[in-house]
Amino acid sequence: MAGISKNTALLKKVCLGTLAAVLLVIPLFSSDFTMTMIIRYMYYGLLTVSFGFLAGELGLFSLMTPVSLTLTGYTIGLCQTRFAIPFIPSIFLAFLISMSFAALCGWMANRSHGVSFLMLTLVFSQLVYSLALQWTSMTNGTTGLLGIRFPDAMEIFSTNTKVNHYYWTLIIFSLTILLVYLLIGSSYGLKLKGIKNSETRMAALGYHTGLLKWSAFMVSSFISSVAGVLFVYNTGMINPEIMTLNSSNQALISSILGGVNSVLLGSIVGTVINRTLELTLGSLTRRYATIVGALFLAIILLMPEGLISIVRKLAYGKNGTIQRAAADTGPDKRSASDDSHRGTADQSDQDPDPDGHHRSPGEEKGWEKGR
Amino acid sequence: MGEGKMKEKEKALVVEGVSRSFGGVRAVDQVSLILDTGMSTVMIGPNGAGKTTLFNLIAGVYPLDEGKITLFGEDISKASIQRRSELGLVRTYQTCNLFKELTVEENLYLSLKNSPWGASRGCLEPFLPWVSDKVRRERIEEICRVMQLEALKDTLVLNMSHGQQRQLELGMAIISDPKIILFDEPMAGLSPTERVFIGELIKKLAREKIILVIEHDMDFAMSITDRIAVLDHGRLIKVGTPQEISRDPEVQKIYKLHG
Repeated sequence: MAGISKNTALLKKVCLGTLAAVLLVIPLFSSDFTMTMIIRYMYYGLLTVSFGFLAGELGLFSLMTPVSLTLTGYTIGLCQTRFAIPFIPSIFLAFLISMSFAALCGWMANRSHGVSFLMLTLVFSQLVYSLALQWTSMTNGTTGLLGIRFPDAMEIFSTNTKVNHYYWTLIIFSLTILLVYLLIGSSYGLKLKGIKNSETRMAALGYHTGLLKWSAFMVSSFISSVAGVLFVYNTGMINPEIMTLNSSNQALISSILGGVNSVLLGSIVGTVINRTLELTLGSLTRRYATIVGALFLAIILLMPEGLISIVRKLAYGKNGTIQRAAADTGPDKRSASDDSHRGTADQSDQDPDPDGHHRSPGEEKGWEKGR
Repeated sequence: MGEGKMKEKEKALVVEGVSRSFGGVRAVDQVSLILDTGMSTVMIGPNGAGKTTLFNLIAGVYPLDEGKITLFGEDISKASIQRRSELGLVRTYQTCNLFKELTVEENLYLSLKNSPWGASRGCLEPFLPWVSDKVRRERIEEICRVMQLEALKDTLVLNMSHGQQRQLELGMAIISDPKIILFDEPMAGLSPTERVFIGELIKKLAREKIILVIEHDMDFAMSITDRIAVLDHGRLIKVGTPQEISRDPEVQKIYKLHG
């Protein structure tokens, strides 16, 4: 079994390396359309990761993930189109504003749980949406801000603007994913999982759970803000449409399609599938939302752990969902215990060992043995 | 400061006239109790006597309606749960309260807060893999050995039996080397073999630490310590040795009433 764990870890590294290599060379042989699609996957993927970070790590479902994206986008847009503020200060200001708003909302929302949390985040989201829609003198209402240009100084990779967009998006996307990956695998990520499991126990152990939850809210907003920067420079515009309830729903649907407990891989796989369906089915039929809805229902009923469970089963065999969400629970040192999905133990899949002890399949695949 | 006050300050845990009501029910009524080194106590009483509520009041789960609790000289009546933990107070739960979707090792790792092994690894800690934390992991190995959980280290708690979960809960209580441990029915639902193992550990802890145990098994209670407190209808009826308790007419009356 330890051999299987090592092979799986190796397979994971090979897959990741191949994916990285393909992403790096894509501009050499693909069209602008393909690059545009991948860029879309990346910024919408970050939006889903932002949602998934709170949902998967902390068990909190927020409907205000697009708020930070929107605030960042509007600030950058206003800085450039209205006030002619240079690139770097405008980015700094955008993060300052979106994170300050998130800090305030997080402080208020973290006093609630479950449905109350969901409703509070919906209220905050609608508050910003209304502001963006009605403060027409500043935001241009439904039209939004147009003509936001990617800074010329950043065009260093190629003379083709799209290639520059692509590489900058890829770099920022990869760094953000790496940051989330490290957070999830650290003691900080473990503390968040502890709160998700039992907040009372965490408090009894001496953890300031409110502060930890607030910090997770801030991390989620930071990821969404990064998505905002990528969105606004790649589309060249920002309008209230990006933060409608439908936009929040898209993040939720993508996360559930991929697998809520798989913060990184599940979120990205879910986004790619959801956004591809939106584009392909949208051009074929006006009823594409019905088809996506039916697919969503089927996945919830048949694969509650999301589409990522198929990948896991392929990689780890039929017991692949027993123990822990694998690919994105943290650095490779624990990769082998990733073999299975947290919280989905299937006792029927357990084998008694020769001594007669009941042993779960994941026991033999502990991260320690996988090193 | 008077001598009496000084002495009170030296006591580990002083509960003075503590009360708590839920609606019209007085769950804990004017309870006073002192715990100190060599004063480990077993609390007995019929169901609904207020034992767990008293635990929750000491641990800070519920606020006090009246009274005062002092821990190592510090008034913790209004202190947060976290502050009580910082002062070295830990507790176990009547129904195992573990992180069920985490492994044994992860559960123990999280329990190392407020311990000599729990020091932060600096500002980079949120970005460092927790598995690279050698100091804490050595301590976890040690506790796994003591609790006979070595083979289950990488197992999710939800895949463990009730007895193994009890072992883990005990391990989580002692891993941070606390000063006071509150055990809420630690033997509940255990098999005879598990009872022997857990029982021996608690007896050993009673000699080394200050412990307060809620337990219904009188034989086990008497084997831990010779200081027994009886609670009924939220009131502390009697504190004394097993002999004093068994001779007390009020205690006899309570236990006759409850069969």
